[in-house]
Amino acid sequence: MKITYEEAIKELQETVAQLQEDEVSIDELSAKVKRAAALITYCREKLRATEEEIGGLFEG
Amino acid sequence: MEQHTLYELNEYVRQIIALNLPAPVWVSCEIYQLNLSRGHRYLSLVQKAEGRDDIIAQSDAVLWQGKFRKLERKLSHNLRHLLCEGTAVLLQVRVDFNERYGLKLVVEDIDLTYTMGQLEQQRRATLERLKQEQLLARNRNTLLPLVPQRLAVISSPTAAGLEDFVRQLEQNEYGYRYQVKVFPAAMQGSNAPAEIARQIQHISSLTRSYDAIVIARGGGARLDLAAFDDYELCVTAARCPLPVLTGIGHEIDEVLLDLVAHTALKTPTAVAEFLIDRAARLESQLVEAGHALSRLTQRQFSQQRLQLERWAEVLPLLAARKLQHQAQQIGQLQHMIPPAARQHLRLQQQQLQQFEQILHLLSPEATLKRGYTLTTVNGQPATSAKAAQTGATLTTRFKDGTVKSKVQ
Repeated sequence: MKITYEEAIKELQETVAQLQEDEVSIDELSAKVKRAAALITYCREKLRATEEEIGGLFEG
Repeated sequence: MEQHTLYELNEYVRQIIALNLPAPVWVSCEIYQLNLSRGHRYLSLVQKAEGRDDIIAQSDAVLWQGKFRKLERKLSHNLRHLLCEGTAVLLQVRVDFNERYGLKLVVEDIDLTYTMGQLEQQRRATLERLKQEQLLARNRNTLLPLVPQRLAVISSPTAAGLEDFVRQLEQNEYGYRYQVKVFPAAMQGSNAPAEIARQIQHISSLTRSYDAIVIARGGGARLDLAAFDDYELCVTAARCPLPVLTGIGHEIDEVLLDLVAHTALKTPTAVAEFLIDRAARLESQLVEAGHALSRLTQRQFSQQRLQLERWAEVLPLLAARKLQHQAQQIGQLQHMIPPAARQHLRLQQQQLQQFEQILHLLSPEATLKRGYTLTTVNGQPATSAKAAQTGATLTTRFKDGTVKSKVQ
């Protein structure tokens, strides 16, 4: 996924807001929710990878 | 003309002196030169003009070995510092005139407090001058690195303080490494100020710079410290581009060099401790910063994770709600369709009825009822007289029947 963590979070925020405001049409709903799920997975992985990367820096 | 031999004259002078100066007298003067010969000390005493270097009085004096030993017992190590070229002293002297050797002052006693007072006065004047020239804080403004490790040490190679300093640095409990280079200089006596100043200038001029200069000296007498009150030395140290740290080994009062130094500590050991502490403090700050960073990033991670989990939960719910909402809308539409359709049909029916009525009103039967007739020729409506040609049969329709007639 060629997107930064920041961009992914921003998009997720927007999607949730759109859903809450009922601004998503049924035609796009499935695509939107799928995309959001993919973004969440991506963000989780990015978090875990980053955490692993910096985890060892402050030991010893 | 009365004549005298030289001996007679000198004998006369000796008698005059002996008569007029029967007891020793106290004389304030400066030791101009000092020579040691077979245990005796030969002094050249001078008095200079007020505030200038011109000598206005000069006499030779001697401190015999026996008297020196006696004074040494009384004044201990201080005597060595009193008997220095350039020192202002108050001496008790016996004026001795010998026909063969001339005038000589024989030193009987030395007043320590006088010299101390003179030094103190001089020290105050120097301090005032350094203050006026704004040199007291000058070296303090040089930058001492967070961890000074390359150290240029000015000391006497034989000084006990130097050894303490090096040992303290090498055996520090944290295992920090220091590079120490010793630049030798006399730490006492009249040469000390110039030698120390020369080394300061030498170190400052080196291309590979040091982090700091340390002036280290073990313990010693108060008078020993006069070297560190020297004006020229203080100026050199104050103007030194490198931070100057002092550990001059004294307890009671600071010397002027301490006042112009970047940091003054009591002993060389204290300088070493200061340097080690400085490094240790920085290290602990770094460790703490590392912990804080780690804590903060952990917090950031858990916040982000929490947010993602919340979204992961809420997104399906929102989507489901949306779907449900749509389903409801469809249901509503479904219910709305039959009544709407019925209404529509009713309207259509009404319209049809209206059309029916209009059609009925417009029908030929309705016209006939109102008294009109309808005439046709050969089944076609005769709407013009031309259609009724002679011999044609007209069919005329009334409301209650039909009549045929022939045109004449």
